[in-house]
Amino acid sequence: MKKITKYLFVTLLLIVAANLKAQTFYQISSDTKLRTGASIKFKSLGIVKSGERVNMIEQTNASWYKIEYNGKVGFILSRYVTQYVEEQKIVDTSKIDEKSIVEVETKKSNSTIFYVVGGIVLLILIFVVTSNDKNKKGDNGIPSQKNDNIIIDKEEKDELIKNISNNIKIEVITSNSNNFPKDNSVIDATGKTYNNSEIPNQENDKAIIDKEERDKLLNNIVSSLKTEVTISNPNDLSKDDSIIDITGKVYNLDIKQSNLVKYKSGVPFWVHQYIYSHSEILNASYEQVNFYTIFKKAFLNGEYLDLEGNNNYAFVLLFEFLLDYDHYKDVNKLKNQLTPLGIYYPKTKYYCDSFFAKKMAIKEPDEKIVVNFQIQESSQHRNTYPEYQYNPNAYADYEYWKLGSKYKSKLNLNEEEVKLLNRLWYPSNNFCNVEFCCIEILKLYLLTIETLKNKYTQEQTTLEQEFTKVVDVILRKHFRYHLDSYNYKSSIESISNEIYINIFKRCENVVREHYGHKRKINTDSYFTATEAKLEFESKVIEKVEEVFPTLVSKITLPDEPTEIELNSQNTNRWKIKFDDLIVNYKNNSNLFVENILALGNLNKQNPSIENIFFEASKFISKYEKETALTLYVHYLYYDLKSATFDNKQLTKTIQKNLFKTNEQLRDFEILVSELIKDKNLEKALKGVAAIYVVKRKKIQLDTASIKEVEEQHSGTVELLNEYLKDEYEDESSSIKTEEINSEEVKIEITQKTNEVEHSIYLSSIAFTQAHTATLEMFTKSNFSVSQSELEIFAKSKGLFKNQLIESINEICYESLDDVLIEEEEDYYIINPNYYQTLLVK
Amino acid sequence: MIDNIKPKEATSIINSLIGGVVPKIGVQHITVGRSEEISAFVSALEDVKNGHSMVKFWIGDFGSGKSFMLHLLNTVALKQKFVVTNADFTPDNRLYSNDGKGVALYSAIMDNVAIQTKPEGGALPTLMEKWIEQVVTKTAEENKISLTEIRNEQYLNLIQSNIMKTINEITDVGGFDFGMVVMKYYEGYIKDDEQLRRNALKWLKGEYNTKTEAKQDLGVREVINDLNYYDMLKNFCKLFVSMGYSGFMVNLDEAINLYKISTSVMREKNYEKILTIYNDCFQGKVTNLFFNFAGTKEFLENERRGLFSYNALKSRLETNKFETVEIRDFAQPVIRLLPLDHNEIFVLLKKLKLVFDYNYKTVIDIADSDIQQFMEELFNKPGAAEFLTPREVIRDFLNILNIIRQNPTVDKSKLFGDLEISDERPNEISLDSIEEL
Repeated sequence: MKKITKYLFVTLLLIVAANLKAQTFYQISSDTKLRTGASIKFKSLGIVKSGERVNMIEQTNASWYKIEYNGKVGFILSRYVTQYVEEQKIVDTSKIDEKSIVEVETKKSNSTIFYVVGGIVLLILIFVVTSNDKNKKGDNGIPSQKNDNIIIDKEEKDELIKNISNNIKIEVITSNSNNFPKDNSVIDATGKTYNNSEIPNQENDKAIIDKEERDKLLNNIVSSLKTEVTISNPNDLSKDDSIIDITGKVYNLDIKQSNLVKYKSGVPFWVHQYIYSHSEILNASYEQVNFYTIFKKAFLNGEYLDLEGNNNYAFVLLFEFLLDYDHYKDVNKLKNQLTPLGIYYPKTKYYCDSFFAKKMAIKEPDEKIVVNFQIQESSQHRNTYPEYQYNPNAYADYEYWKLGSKYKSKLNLNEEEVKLLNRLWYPSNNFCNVEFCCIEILKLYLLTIETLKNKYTQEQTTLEQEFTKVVDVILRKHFRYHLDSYNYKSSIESISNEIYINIFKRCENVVREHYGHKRKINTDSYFTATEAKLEFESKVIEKVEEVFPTLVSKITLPDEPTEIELNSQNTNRWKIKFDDLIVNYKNNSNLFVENILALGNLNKQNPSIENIFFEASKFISKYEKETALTLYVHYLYYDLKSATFDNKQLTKTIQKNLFKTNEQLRDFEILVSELIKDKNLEKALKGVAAIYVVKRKKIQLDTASIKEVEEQHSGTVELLNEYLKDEYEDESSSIKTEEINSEEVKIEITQKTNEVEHSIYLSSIAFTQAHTATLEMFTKSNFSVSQSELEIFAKSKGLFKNQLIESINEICYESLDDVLIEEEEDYYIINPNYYQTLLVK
Repeated sequence: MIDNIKPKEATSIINSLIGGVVPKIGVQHITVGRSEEISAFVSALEDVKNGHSMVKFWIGDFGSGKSFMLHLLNTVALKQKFVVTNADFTPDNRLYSNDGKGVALYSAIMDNVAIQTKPEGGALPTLMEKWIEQVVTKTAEENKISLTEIRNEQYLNLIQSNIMKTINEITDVGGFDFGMVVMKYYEGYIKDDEQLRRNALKWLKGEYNTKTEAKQDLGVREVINDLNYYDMLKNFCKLFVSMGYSGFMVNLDEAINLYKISTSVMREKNYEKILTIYNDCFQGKVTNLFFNFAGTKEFLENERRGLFSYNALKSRLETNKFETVEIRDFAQPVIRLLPLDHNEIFVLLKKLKLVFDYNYKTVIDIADSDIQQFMEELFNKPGAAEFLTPREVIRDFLNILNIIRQNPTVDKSKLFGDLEISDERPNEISLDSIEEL
């Protein structure tokens, strides 16, 4: 029990110490001279070997450091000095083949990880301490909790340490897996699966980008990749089920028990670096090469040395196997070699698998299996994916990753084209990652090269010749390499590729331009020598630029998903189409809205999609109010969904134009506030239509006031009736009285009327003799008498003509309610009907 | 059922209203919602009849019923034995001017003189003859000469002196010339000189432009001109009253034309003339004279160009401070005609429907709810708020009634839905934009 406590204590101390002791040191990456001053002009003090550690005294400037080495102080070229951070914890505590040295970039890795690790170690220790005796011989299983009293002898101690270290390892990976994006689950030694997706993501932004790129790359490997994740036997820590299945054939790399042998005289330290090929061994030191030979021999004999974290050896071995395979094409051999390599040196596992898969793919291309292989990955395998390793896709087996091989089948390329394209690296950028764009660039590129070829042929030369000339000038003028020098010869290929890459970049720019992609990539050549530059410009670039205008039309316009992707990359790309819509607007607002909505659809991933609708709304407000509001509502909706809610208002002028009445404005404001609240676009759109519907005015009739009006009116009617009718009688009588008052004559007249009471006329009508005579004259002449005739008649009676007519009319007015004798041109006329009514019936 | 309407009135109402004009007779049956105004002017009429004088301003916007009210005024006044005359202000007719525009207004007024038996105007000769006959009769009476004999030329002087006597009794300014001309008219009658009578009438109507002409034709030294025509009107008023008429009513419409006078000096002079008339009437300088001005709110209230720009008038014509929309004061010189409200229009349409039924002796299938629906449709048409006037409402309603009467199966609501409203306002440029000279 005492021992256990001691373990606990020591472990704890170590964890704390490890974290505190993270130390920086400097190592030489390549043999270089130590000089007395900060320039190559100074005298050499000797050579510092690659891999040696030096003490940094001063970083004199960007290219020279002052260091201390073997007691000598001198200056050294900074580019040969690599800074490392050493963390002693893992190295000291266990045999985990975890990298003990973390590169400067990764040193930021959260120190909490170590605490987490430490905590878990503690927990496990407690587990171990309390575990049952019976379980102590189990390899990996966590002892049951039942036993609380155990004695641990030396053997047990070793076992325990192993157990603990296993657990530590797993858990370290678990923790690290937060930094490793592809990881979803971890398996611990007890077989319990912890889902890590819930663990807060600690990775920084860079990691996200890396993840995306890696994902994309991975997707590009196999367009229809079927991933099947199987959980490997949790009891077997080292067992790795990751296999890559091609055409259903399962190449299973069997797993054996892990049993690393400690190399007695110690593994020579080999600073971690990216291993791209087997040739890296040539740069290794003598001890390293020696150890490598021993390691390789042992490996082939089935004895696996513990590399103590110096995985470079394993990777070199991996590339050696691959070289071997390329030579002998022996699949089984390769399989037998790679399987244990992956198992015993898990860092290499992923690469073993992927290279194996690719070799298989290349081996059987006729069977068209490239695109359809299955990767069976165990989560354990995923854990072994080293997050700090170089991206294997970019370097290893790079032929595969070159454009020609990649698109060979997809674009039906012939050998020559494949070769042409293989000069290029996969151009990893946002634009090219859209596959449609990439393919269009490739097509354009191939077309351009072909056209160029024709062009050169017309000029009695060939593309190759011209390019060689250019390369020659560049090498001699820019790089100042002597003809026939080693440098010259070895650079021809790369410079020539440089030219192709430049053309490719220009093609990409043309496609970008054509697609309205805002950003262009830099196509400037780096040749500083005027002659080289001129040669390059005149012989290549000018021709290429000449060719482009004719080829632009052959670029296929982007399809919908591409449009969406491009729009999301270029937040203002919509303006091109939008301007087009505006210019071609022909009073068809519905069509306009449709187009805008379609444009919106293509911009659904554009973070500033709302601006489309805002601008559209502004534009259409001049023509169609309702449409303008509809689009504005769209704008608000997308604005609400966007990262920031700007809630841009329409200008006052537009508002004035849109809303004739305050009521409409108020209605719209209500609608908008509701939209902001419930984000219901459908509802808001329906509401817009209602705003311009003229509110039907209801006429409210008030029965009481109607009654009042009616009463008042009948009162008025009575009043007016009195004035218009009854008054007349009074008036006439009043006239009579007046006349009676003033003249006696009138009395006579009335007497006369009395005399004629028994006349043919109504009793109520008081005609004088003159009147009767006049009417008789009318009846005789068929109710029509000329004015002059009547004038004479009036004069004979001693009367005025007008006065005579007037008096007759006045007398009859009451009975007729109209004038009896009417003037019509030169005649006086009596309406016979009126006359009849005057007669006694 | 509608009460006390005559078939003749019903026919007149329906026919005139369909034509968009005020009916000649039966107008009292469609005076819905104007009870207060009517009683106000009836009492004014009574006052005038009793020897007072009156000026009323009828102020209302387009379509508010000014013309209808003036027409109603005419009808009632004629029945009340008033001599009535109408004239519109025009760009060439105004109250004051020194280029003949004033006398032009006078001519228009005298041309339109109407009495009950000659309601369409042109009653001046009739009135003159009536008066002369009265004088002749009186002279014959006084001198015991028979009515036939007195017309002989030998009694001409006798009658002329009597005419002059009467004229002198009733006139003050310009009475001599007025009497002279009337005598000439009589002379022409006696001597059967048609030309002489015409010349006399021409003079009375103010159609002589030069004194020379007048002297040649009639032997008078004076003519009616821009400055004295108002005195002449007053003379006529007295003459008509002496003949036994209740009074002289002058209706002047379209007063907006005074508002439109471009020069402020001339505009002010015209408003001064209105003030003169106003003062004469209300200070009792004249009797039995009734002036009515009809115009828009602008004409009255615009502080820059309207009557209110003339302070003396503003203080006289300002609204009774205690008047509200509900509590009206119709005794003021200014009577504002408010648009009919929905209830009033509803009653009016109901009434019209009854008149229509009575006229055609039928029963059109239009219930009160249909009338309401019709109104709603109409008021919801675009432009209703700006253009809709009772004239249009009535005309559309009667047109629909006519359609239904002749096509009983037609769909009412469809007819209502097909209504359209047009802007019938006179096309006037905004007056405020007219440059002040």
